[in-house]
Amino acid sequence: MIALNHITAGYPNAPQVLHNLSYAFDEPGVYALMGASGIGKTTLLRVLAGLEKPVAGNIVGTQDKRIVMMFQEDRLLPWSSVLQNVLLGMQEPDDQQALEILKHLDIGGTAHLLLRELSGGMQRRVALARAIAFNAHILLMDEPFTGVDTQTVARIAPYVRNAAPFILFTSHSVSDAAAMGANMLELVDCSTLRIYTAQTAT
Amino acid sequence: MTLLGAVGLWILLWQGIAMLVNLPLLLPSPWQTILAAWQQWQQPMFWHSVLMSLLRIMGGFLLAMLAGVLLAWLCTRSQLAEALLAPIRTVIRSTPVSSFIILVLLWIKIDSVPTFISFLMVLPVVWHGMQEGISTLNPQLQEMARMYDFSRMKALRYVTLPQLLPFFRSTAATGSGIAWKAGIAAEVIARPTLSIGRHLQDTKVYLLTDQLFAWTLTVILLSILLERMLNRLFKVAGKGGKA
Repeated sequence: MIALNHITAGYPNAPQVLHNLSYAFDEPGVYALMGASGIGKTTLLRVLAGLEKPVAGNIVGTQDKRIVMMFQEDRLLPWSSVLQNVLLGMQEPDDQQALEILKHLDIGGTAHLLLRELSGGMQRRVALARAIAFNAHILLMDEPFTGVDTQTVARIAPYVRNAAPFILFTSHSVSDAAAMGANMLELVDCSTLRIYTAQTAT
Repeated sequence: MTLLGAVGLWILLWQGIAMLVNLPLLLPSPWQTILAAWQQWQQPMFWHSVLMSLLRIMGGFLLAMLAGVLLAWLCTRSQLAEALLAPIRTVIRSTPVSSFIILVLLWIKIDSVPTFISFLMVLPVVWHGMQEGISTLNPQLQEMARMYDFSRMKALRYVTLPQLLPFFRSTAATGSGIAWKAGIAAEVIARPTLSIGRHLQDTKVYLLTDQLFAWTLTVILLSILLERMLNRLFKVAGKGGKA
């Protein structure tokens, strides 16, 4: 189980993006984190990833686990090929495995291209491929399907949902969350994370 | 217009003016210059002098590249270092090269003056350029490298160096030009035994204007050759961070 206990976290100019937030995730599982823009979804992922240290509270169940976060920005290396970007996500680079991941994400033919030769949605999938290639136990993804069309999401989601035992991703799209077969959660405000209901759709 | 066409046009103009002036002592024609250069190239002394000048000046240039990168790194990491060293950088940049040459002549061996002067003139250019490069490193990519457990070497090779390479390339191109000019100027004043600068100074003393033009032509050709070699080197180095 992964549990957030009374987490307060933020940044110097906004110190309480999250305030006294508690929630327990049943593990394993796929979770979609919904909520209005700027409500603190990214901050929550960053806290779980260990990139932001909470000023109060603690997290249980992430210690000694391999965690990776796919950022809201692609953060790819534009001077490297698609394949090289994916290989860099691996502890032990394996061309075959990297090509396999790209194939599952519908961009198998792009391996030797440079990033600038790819559309935005394809670049997003390269970032997704790199995150999957990291082979994490906890896979955190910040809007992983931005720029990817609904049909492609529907095609690749069954593969992505099995990429790690625990997956938490932010999204504004109920259909993306449904395609992933995710348990939908909603960050309502800085201290309330609860099961998502259609009435509170953003 | 192609580069060759443009150069050809300027040479034609030079030829025209030389014919108008009609006094090789004041302005030799392109043909007289090439002839003088050709005669110089036949002499072993010429190549020996060129080699020695190259070694002296490139030595200073390479040292300045190394020191410039280290100082840039230090000044980006430490505010104290930046506060202490920034005035020195400003003084070096603002002081006329001839002041330094004359001063340095009193301190070190004549043979080392061109090396030191090249080093001193290139140093602030590299230092400033690389400091700018380091300060514009993308923090998001650095964070990504941490998230994906990149080792220090892996982050340096695939994330940091490819971002710094354009800055390094442009400072090296500017720096090599400055090193040449400052180094030759230092040789003219210091007059080391085997040097382009000494020969240039001799042409002035003996009013050998065609020889002066020929030596200048050699310096220009060497400068172009050097820049091309640097570009080739960076192209090969650039492939290091690519797939």
